[in-house]
Amino acid sequence: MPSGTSNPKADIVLSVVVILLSVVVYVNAMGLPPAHWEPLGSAALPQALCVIMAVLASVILVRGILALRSYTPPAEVNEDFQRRPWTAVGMFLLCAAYVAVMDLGILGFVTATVAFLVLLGLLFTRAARRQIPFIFGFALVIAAGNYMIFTQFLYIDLP
Amino acid sequence: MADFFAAFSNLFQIWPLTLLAIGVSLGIVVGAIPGLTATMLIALTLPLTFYMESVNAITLLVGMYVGGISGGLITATLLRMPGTPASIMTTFDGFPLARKGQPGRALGVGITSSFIGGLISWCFLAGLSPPLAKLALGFGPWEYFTMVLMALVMLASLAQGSMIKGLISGCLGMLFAMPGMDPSLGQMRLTFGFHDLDAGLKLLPVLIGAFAISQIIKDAVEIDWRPKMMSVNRRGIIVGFQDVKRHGINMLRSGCIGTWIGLLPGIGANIAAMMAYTTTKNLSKEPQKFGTGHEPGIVSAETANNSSIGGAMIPLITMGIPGSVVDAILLGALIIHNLQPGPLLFTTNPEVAYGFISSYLIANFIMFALMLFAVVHIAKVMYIPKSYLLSAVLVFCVIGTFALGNRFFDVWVMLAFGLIGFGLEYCKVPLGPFVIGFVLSPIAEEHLRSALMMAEGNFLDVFSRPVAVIFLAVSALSLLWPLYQERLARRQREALAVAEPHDKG
Repeated sequence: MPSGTSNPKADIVLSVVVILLSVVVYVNAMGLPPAHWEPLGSAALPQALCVIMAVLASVILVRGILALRSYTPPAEVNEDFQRRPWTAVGMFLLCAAYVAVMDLGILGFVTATVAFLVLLGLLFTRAARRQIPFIFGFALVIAAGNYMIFTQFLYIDLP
Repeated sequence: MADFFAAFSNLFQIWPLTLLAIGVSLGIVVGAIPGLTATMLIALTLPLTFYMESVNAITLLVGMYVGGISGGLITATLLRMPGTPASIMTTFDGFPLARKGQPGRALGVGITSSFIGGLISWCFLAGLSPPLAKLALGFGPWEYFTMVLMALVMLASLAQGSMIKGLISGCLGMLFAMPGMDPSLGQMRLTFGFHDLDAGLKLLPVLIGAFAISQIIKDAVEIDWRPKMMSVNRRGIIVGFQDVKRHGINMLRSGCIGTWIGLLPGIGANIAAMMAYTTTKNLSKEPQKFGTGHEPGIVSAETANNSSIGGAMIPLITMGIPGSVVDAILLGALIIHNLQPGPLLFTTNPEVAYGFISSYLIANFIMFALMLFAVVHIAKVMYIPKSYLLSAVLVFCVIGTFALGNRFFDVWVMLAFGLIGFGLEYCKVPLGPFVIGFVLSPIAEEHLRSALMMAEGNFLDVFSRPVAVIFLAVSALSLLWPLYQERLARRQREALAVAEPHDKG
């Protein structure tokens, strides 16, 4: 059996989250009314899953703690490009804001999509001047094109 | 037989054939773009199929499946970067052969092998599905429950990575399928007071989040990566009959391995390709040539990964058990179209069951023709800047999910599962068991509760059903086999460690 070769710190965080989730769900399932005419009831399966998950996560937790001392992070690989984790964080936050402005009714689909795509394009290209006209054009085409397809052909009301 | 021919004749009409061609083309293009996968494409297309007839929807999705797995060989061969995970093994010999100045030949061998792999598994799909469905008609709740249990255990223990993490992934998937109305008692559970959860978590937001959003997050980290240009010509792309004859045994063996691996739940095309490649290498008289641009390596990898598609469809259409993540989405497509997946599909909706089989065959022919004649042009799509591609896919994820029920709750669920999927993959937890656990959980629970009601709460009643006992035994074996292997490997390591100082001495 190949063992998970991830970082022990990540394994510890994973197992703690899984154990916490199992406890929360188990406690919530305890509040469900018992079944009168059916042998299993609503709570049995979620509770069984929680117990299995907590046991398995405990094994990972113990293994992670034991591996923590001897762990050496893998050597950095030379890549011909720069990794940009903060760009991914920015993209996710922008996407959440995009959904929120439509959900709260602040902006409609076309305006929100154009704004989102322009900001995302600037983030991805590090606001390269030469790209700006293309980003605007692309944002307009995607927003208007999707609006047309969804409202005119698929009869779906967009916000 | 009449239903079989009716499905074929239905396919040879303008609209279904066009949909199939669109599906295969889109699949190849998406498969050729590193970072985009067939799973992502099919999950994103599913909301658009609501308005289609169920047979046409299945036709489109099967086309995408075949195209998506096949398209991965383009980047695997030209960039040493698998377009889809299924093409990882193709990089070992496809790329070196392309580097030797024969990119056309490398692609041609891969395309022909993919096509033949598809035909081999189609024979199994068409030949085995109807009798298996008949057999499954005799299954009761215990058989179904133990079959789902077997699927989940095999999936977790045989999938790549740690078995414990695979099992946690499967359990998490099952747990996330529980909120909402209890199907047996009609009472709410695990909703935590959120009324939006009363109907439970829908399959598509979870799928799009776990597979598309998490992949986009990963791709955004590598947004500055640019593929290196390689010129491609068509020289050697047409593979002659003599070549097919020369590789015939390898193709047949790899096709059978791929189909068999595809049949096992949740074990994807990448494992099928890996097993076929390793077998071919072990049986070869020239194993040292593998990894240097040796044609049998490309043949075994590509035949196996494509044949696994047909294999994975067999449990899907005969028993309603998905053989892979894409099959889990196809299962979702059937449910969305109000069709009951399982053995009854052949009697209640034969046009859909046989539609799967016939569209799979025709999709392979379309894929073969398209790839042979257009691969040089398709190869250019991998140079599309990621910044535009990811932005467009992200917008499409949001609209596609919103379109499911015109509510933003689903979009928030999708974003949340994007983070969960990314986090799980970061911790090396496989996502396959998560999705299949999510899909199979309601089926498992429903059958377990029915079985227990029939047995008046007696769990031991399962041992009165021979088929269920076999499924339980296979589950136990699947669970114990990796532990045995680990023990064996540890003993070998210890033996080596003891032997080494003696050798040095």
